[in-house]
Amino acid sequence: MTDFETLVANPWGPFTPAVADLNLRLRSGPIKGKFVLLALDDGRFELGQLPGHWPGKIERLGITYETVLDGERDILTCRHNQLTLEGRL
Amino acid sequence: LKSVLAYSDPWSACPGDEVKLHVSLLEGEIYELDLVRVISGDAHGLGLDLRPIDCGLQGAYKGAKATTRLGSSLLIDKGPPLSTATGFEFDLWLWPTTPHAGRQAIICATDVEGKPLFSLEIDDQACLRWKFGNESDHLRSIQPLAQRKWTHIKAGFDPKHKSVYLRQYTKSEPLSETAQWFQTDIKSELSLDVASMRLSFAAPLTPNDTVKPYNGKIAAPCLKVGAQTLAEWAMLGDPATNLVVDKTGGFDGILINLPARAVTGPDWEGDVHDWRFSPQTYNAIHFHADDLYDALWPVSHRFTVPEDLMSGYYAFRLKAGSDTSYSPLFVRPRSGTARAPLAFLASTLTTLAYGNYHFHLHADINEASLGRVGVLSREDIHLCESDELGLATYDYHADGSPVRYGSRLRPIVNNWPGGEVWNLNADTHLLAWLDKTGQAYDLITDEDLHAEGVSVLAPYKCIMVGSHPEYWTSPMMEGLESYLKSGGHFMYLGGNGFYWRTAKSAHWPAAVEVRHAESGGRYTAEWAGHYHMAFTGELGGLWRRSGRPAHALIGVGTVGIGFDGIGHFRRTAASYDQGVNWLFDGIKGETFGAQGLLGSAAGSEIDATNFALGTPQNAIVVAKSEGHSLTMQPMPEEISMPHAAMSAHYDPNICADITYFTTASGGAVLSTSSLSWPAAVAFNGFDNDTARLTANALRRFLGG
Repeated sequence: MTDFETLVANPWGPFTPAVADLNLRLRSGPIKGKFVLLALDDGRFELGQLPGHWPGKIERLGITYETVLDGERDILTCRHNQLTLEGRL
Repeated sequence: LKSVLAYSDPWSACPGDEVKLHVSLLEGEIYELDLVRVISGDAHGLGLDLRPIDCGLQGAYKGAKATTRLGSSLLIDKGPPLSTATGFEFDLWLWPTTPHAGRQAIICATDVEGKPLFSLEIDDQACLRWKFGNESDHLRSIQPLAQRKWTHIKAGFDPKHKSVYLRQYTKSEPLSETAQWFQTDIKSELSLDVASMRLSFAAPLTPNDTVKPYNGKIAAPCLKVGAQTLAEWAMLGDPATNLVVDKTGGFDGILINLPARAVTGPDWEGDVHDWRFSPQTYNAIHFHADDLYDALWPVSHRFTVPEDLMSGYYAFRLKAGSDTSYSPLFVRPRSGTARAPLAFLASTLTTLAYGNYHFHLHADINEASLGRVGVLSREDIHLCESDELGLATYDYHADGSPVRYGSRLRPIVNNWPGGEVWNLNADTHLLAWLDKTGQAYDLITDEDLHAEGVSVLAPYKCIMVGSHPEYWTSPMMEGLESYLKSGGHFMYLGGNGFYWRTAKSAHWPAAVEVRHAESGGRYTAEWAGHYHMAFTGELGGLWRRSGRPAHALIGVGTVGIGFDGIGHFRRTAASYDQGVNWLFDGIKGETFGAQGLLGSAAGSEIDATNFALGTPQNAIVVAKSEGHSLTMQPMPEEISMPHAAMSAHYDPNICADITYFTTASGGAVLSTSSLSWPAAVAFNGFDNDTARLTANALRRFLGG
């Protein structure tokens, strides 16, 4: 398994040093536009993005997940794709 | 967003006391209300356990939206007389922090009947406008105000030339060109003659959508007529109070919404950092458009605590639509009495310091610090999208200055039942455990200990504190020390305790003051010159840096922080000594505490012994944590030079020490040194080694 596959399989660790490094790279970065999960009344979670200033509207993206882990994996995958495209991984 | 919000006052009450509940209904017309005893507030791990109390409060009530006026100001209700026949001049210094943020009020004046007389404001081009009567009659400054630079302002009326004028002088930077006065004036037919006026500094006298409250400092304001000074307001004065004394004419003012005092003025050069020793250089007040001390909502309900209501943690529960809100009520016994041998000390000052925090919504470090993606509740979203509930000492004001005050006279929406398992909500893991084991207890709060000292502790054989008793005042520290000196027993079942020196003031009784000075794990950093607290003059920041580290009191002090929940405890060789091995009755393994409702029993924020900092010589470390990941990092005060191998993964000194010691007077202290400890007590239906160790200590401390 690649480090990324290992991370996505278990996003909350524990990690080897190499996976920990990848984990921190994917979780760092500016707050503006950072993905978050919004807890919904029915127990599901909706993907959102932070405004980066206060007060400010959280953008709701309409994508929902059954569990936090599902959302976590999707967010990590999005970030991994983005940083790979930008040549930062 | 939220549909219903409320705040209760006071939080701590005895049977017979009256508690006021202020409610704002944001959607719909009806809300439901009842009182519940909080056994467990953890909706996910342990499950909510809220028990309705039949006390006549339960019912459906008609509600309405209450408005909140944000922004601090100085109000002089009966100001000096003023006449254009003699002329006048306002003389003051400004240090604007957001001069380009649109129109902001500096001075507003009306006659006693509310008719506008004049105003000085910042306009939408960062220039000053000196206005008289209606909007169109004004004088505008030539130079825009410079952000975070002191500017001396003189705004007045010259009776000799029948002109209004505005003069400004911005202090130069050391390497820039020499500063100069800019002056502008116009002929005016202005005619004023009032025996008294209402004056407001930093906010309009009546809220309006056009002119907002001011962000920045105002220093040394005075009003002159010729060579005579009519009024000269002491902006430092006694900074613990809400009173701003006029040193000349007796036209005293009061402060609204708790702006920051004990802040540096235009003459401060960095020589003296304690306002008590150089008051003339601290003659300023920092006003913020988002300050909020008292929401001033109408009282919706008055509730008298029933005589037979058991001491404990209760909450007013309000429901509207799909939303539920809570506001706390801590029922304590009457002063000097006890209904149980054990008292749980609720960390209400810590809750106030964190009240409505949302740094995690604006700080770049949010996700890396947590080690997982942010999951936002309805309350988090409300705090992100609305500014009406104010800020926490973990946030920065909109102008970039650190928030120094937390207040309970407004709804606080986080850390109550159903919310994040943090602070008092995390402590309910212990309350649920006490309930499950049938252990009777009274509940007292930080505010009670601060106000009454050791007398609130003295009736008890044992005092227990929960997950995060982080903010302690001097009277609280002294009260606990006296209790321990008189033979008391103390169980510190958390982490990062006794960390920040904190202050309260009788003039702002619902507030707590914090200055996150110099060092420590902090989300806001105090500015230079502002380290001494306004309420007491004490040096703010870490108790450790005040020369009174927690180690001397409870044996340990904070060393690390990391939220991934990885690690466990291992017994030390010393733990097998007969003097302490009773702590491990029923615990079979060498290691324990790898699991809990927040991960490891040794996690989140952890403490360790340090004999050089005052850990008692007879203290015994009975277990140490290990197996932490790279995420568990040392606190800043633990390192003098950053390096690549600082984390607990490499450094065994970054660990939680479960520490036990006896006192000369026959008492004892157990510090479990981990913020995640209570959540581990609650793991597996309380059937675990963390709970067993806690029970062994409590049984011994209560004389069982």
